[in-house]
Amino acid sequence: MITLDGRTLTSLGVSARSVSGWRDGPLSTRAFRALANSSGGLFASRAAGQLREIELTVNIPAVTIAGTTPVLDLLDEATQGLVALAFPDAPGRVVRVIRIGRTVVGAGADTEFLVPRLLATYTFAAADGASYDTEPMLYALSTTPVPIALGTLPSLGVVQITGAWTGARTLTYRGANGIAYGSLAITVPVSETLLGTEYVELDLARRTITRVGPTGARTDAYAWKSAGAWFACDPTDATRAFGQSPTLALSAGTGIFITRRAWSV
Amino acid sequence: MYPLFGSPQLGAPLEVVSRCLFHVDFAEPEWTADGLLIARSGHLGSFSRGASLASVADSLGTTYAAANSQPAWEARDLDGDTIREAFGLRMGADDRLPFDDPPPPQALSGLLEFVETGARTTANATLFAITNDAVSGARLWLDTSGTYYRINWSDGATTRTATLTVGQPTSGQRVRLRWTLSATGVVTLWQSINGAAETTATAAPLMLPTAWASGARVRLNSRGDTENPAQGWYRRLKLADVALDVATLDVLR
Repeated sequence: MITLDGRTLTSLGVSARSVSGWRDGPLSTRAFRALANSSGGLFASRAAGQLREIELTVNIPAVTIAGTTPVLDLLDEATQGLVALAFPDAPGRVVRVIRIGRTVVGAGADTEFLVPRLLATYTFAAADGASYDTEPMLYALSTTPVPIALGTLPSLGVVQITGAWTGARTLTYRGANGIAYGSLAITVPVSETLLGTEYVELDLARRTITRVGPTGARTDAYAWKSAGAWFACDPTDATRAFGQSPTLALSAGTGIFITRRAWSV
Repeated sequence: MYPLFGSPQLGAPLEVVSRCLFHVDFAEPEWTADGLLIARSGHLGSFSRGASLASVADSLGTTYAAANSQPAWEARDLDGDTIREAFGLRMGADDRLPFDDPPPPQALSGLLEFVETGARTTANATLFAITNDAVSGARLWLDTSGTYYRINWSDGATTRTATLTVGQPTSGQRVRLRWTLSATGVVTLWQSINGAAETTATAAPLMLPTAWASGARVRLNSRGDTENPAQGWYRRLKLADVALDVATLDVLR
């Protein structure tokens, strides 16, 4: 069933009439430059995503004209702000949208004040056109590479490296074929001592490195990044058909990786 | 009074929020830059644990040890298909998670979903509370008699307790506890184990105070700053105004 922030349409007093656009992934554009004396050209290295629109039409089964207003008000409230939309074909994923339009018509032409049953069409726009798993994925990290399940878009996440350590530790991201596509080395300065009761947090999305002390006190440790570059776990490094996933591993010690799979629809 | 140039537009939304009196869902953990947990209702929680917590399971069933003050996120299989699809916060006896700014005493409904890990058999172990650090004054708390879960509320002098008499969840079972506090001060508790029919208990009325004790906070997994810690795998906690049925409370945002 279709849900808005987990709320079913039934709980909002309406039923689904039609929906469109929910299977259309976000359009992306990529600049292309023709090359002289060539039959082809070059794509730009960066792509730009476009707004993704989803339209939902619901039946408003009021029995009086005045009775339609509270239902519409409730729908207005339920569609305010960022709304997590889920559809029955993928109930474990949501796309987060804002309402950009609402149109209400009578169920028959020119019947708004004769037949109080209405059709309300809500147009939603997703600035982030990706769908995400409702449940995050959690991986224990160690020196043994752990396969990271991905959707159809790259996923970022948070890495927490635990335990007392000195010197450098490297987080290595490898494709399903074993090639290291990304690594981040974190080196504890000689003037610092990292206790076993502390952990270091790497936010791959915000690109921050934070030391979290035994009482939860957080201090910036970005300066501890000593080598490597930020990376994303990318499904182009996986083989969905054969269930092969990219991996993450630490050079020593243990940690966790929390991520949320992202999907183009 | 009408505005001169129309009503302001709503602000640009950055997160999905909840209009419940209180609502935290651990499948959607959000943190402030200084490490406070942001509930969906906007309340800020301060997580702490004074020790490590061992044998926390990831999505593949591999276990790890969470360091001090590292939230022990754990993936669990709630539908019995061996896939650990559910993400939640595992808390042990050293874990604390208080949130500031509790909703005031009023007719309200509460919902707590968790997986039992052994708290029920420890008398007074407290899963949820609206209490101050000293556990004094007007307060509300959900704990166990050592045999059954129970909901309690006190105006500071008199305490009312509704204790279940049927239903003893064992480790690994999914538990949904919900409660209502009526405008007349009647507290009622319902419990469902693994999605089965609810059992219930209720207590005699006691007039609601106008405010909880000074310094009261919404707490998960303990009664006060240190008192009566519980344990469990927590999924979500929700408080809503007025007494609501479970279907409404379940989907309310």
